[in-house]
Amino acid sequence: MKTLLQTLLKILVSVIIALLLAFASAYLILRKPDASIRNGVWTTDLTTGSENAGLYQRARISLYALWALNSSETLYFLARTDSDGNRLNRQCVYSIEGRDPQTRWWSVAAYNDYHFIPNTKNRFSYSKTSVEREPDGNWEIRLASQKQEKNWLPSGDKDGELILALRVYNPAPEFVQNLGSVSLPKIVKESCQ
Amino acid sequence: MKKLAVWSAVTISLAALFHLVGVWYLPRFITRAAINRVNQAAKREHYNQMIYSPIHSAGEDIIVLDNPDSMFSFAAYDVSEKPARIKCVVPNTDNYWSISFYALNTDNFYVVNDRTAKAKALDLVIVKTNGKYQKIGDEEIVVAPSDKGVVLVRMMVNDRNNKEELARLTELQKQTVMQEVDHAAY
Repeated sequence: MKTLLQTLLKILVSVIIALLLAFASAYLILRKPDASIRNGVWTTDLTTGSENAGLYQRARISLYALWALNSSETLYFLARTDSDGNRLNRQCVYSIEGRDPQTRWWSVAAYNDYHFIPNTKNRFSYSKTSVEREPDGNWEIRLASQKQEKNWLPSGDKDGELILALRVYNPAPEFVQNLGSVSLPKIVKESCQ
Repeated sequence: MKKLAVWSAVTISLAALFHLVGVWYLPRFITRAAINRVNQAAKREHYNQMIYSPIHSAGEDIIVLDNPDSMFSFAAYDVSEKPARIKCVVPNTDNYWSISFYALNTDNFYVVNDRTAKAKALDLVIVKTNGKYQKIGDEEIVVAPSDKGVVLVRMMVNDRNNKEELARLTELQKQTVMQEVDHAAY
């Protein structure tokens, strides 16, 4: 009887340790989105939404980009740092500078922990149709917690991971062929509180 | 010492098994949970019915990394018993429009946009992998890799704060309808 109880206890301990190991290893692998392509501060992965996505990529998509379109339709680039490699911080003012990518439609949106950032302007992004451009076609979006003069993208007043997403719908073939080198917006830190 | 090695090997093997099963199941679990949350938010409990969602603001973005410039129409499909039919009119708009289908494992197994659509009126029938469906017209048959999943219609918005534009797009949303198909041989 004692031996049986000892064996059952060992099995129970073994299962609990196995569950803890399984959970911890999955957390470590999935805690951040993975991306096979990097272009400056922006990262993307061509298997997003695809039937070729692997076990871990599907799990990451469900956590960080549920119901994303596959890359033949849309590319999703994420940025967590500025162009100097420092994490985006809501207490800083950033200038996001770029030109329209070669694509049918694009947008740059800001998120706090993957959700919209509450603000009085009801503004969460700028897109091909809503951004105000300079005469030469370039544009600048100002990511900041305090109101800015033009193209203000609020970064909010709550702590959390600040993330930028660049969506590129129906990109041109030359854009897709040069994902690692095409011109994408720069994120320049200007000041911090 | 030998017993400890055996228990360690068993524990690590179990951990690997739990890990793989958990990672495999996670997208399915999250997709089902998201379907339930969207249905609850729309006060619906049924599959195979379109939900015409207004543009989302802060606090209304149930799904991670929601697109703030898109109006969504949503449906959870269930083709385990009957096929599901979707009829939609591709809007005359300069902005991007698409209809896409997702399996429970997050795979986007079908998408067509306003430029790749072969006609201005689409007639799509989703069937399960081994479903028997006899075509009766010009409908396009789409075989779903999972019996349950999600249908999303996206319509990009020029200005999310323009009420007139949103009202016009809300009317366009209603041009997509979904219903179950009674099909004896299925």
